[in-house]
Amino acid sequence: MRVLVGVKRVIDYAVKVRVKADKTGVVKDNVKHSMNPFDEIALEEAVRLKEKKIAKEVVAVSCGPTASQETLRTALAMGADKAIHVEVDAATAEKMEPIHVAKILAKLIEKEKFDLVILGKQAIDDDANQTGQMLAGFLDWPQAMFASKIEPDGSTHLKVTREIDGGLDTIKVKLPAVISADLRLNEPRYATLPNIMKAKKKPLEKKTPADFGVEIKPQTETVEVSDPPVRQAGIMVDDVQSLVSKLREKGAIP
Amino acid sequence: MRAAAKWILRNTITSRHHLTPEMSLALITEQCPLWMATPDQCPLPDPYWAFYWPGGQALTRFILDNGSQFRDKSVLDFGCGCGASTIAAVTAGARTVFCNDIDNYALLATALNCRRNNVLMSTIEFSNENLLLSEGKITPIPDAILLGDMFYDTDFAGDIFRLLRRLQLDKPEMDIFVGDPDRHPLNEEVHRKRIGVQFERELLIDYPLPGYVTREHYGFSSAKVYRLLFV
Ligand SMILES: C[S@@+](CC[C@H](N)C(=O)[O-])C[C@H]1O[C@@H](n2cnc3c(N)ncnc32)[C@H](O)[C@@H]1O
Repeated sequence: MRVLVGVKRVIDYAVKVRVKADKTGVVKDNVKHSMNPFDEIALEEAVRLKEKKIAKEVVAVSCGPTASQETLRTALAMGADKAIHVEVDAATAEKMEPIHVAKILAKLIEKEKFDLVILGKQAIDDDANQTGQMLAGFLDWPQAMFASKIEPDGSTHLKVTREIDGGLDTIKVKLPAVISADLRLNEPRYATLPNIMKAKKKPLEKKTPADFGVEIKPQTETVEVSDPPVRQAGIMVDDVQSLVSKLREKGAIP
Repeated sequence: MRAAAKWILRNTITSRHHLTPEMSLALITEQCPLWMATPDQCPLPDPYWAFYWPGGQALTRFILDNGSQFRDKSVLDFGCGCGASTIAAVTAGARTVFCNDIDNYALLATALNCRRNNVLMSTIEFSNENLLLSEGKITPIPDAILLGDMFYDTDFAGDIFRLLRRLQLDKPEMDIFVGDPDRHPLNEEVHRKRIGVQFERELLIDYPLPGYVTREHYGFSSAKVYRLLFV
């Protein structure tokens, strides 16, 4: 089984994101970037499938600017066998939407045979949560979104557990299929020194959207990006007595 | 070099956790802080010699188990790394072992590992020359060449294959032994086609790798030893 994993370079989850003064987007220059955490989980799952001999090869793909290659090297250091970089310039990257990525991946999958695609459930920068679903649609493959557990079910199917409101939903999908990874699927490994060294030598293929006949024409327009409303400061009370009277004053208790 | 030797001894641990436990080697393992480091945190750049690569483990195991094939032979260990295959060839009674690596620290690590295993260095000739650049002027051509886990990069593999082909043309009886855990340049049709050098490989043995080696190298579960024939 060949597994394709999509990995996106995003602003690191620990960075405090700042909105640009003109509100057209967020500040990205000189800001730490890393692999989208949900994609790390997707990749880890693929590598585990390989370690269990269920998968034969794991290929990581990233659509984005030149710097996305760093993310692909990380993917290789975490155990992917090869990488494909679909490069766009920085300006195009800003305009790229999930539908473009889904179209590129669909074409890539048509060209090179894959049996399974695992993606993160969403990217933490745009929170779009669309790529996996659209990709499954384009390919007409079954989809299992927000997976928290993946198990083989014979050689033709996978059993996928999904966390849903108040419980678990277990579904069976026939391969080939598209799966998206949720937070609790696994805990990704850290790349170790020997694996980082080896990753520098693993094959990284460069492509462009044009190679897949995809044109990056945006369907939406960003009107404004703004900071979340600032929470109003609280007040300090001296003792329980004054707390109770304050609450009563505000009508919170009778 | 003295400072480097000290650094090696301070930052590695002695390990017998590999396919050749009769040898103790100075390695960076899971127990070392550097295991989780990035290459730029390491003062000796890209310390390949600090790991005992799966292909090298299999090849060294093979030499120790088939010592008679190396007795009185001249042997070239190409890309010696930690030096395990060199040590095995000396132990097997090779006449001369040409121990080659372009990284001086690999030669140093090999010397330290020889000392640790009480292996006499009088039959070893160390060299840091890049043999890929010497246009086949390797004289004398050895009786056997050892390549432990050297096929990890397609372009580099192509250069090595062309060198091996040239040497074997000049000395057809030269044996080429390769240890490899199924890395892409040696095993995948697309990469072999891209390299475009024809050869045959004879599988000599397939060693299952211990669980921790599989874990460290993310999925390789066995390492094979081949004899290569360029025709
Ligand atoms: C993956 S390590 C293998 C080391 C050892 N044979 C083993 O199996 O553990 C590759 C080694 O090849 C060396 N090397 C790279 N290019 C070389 C060249 N052109 N000539 C000789 N050695 C080279 C590196 O310095 C490194 O020590």
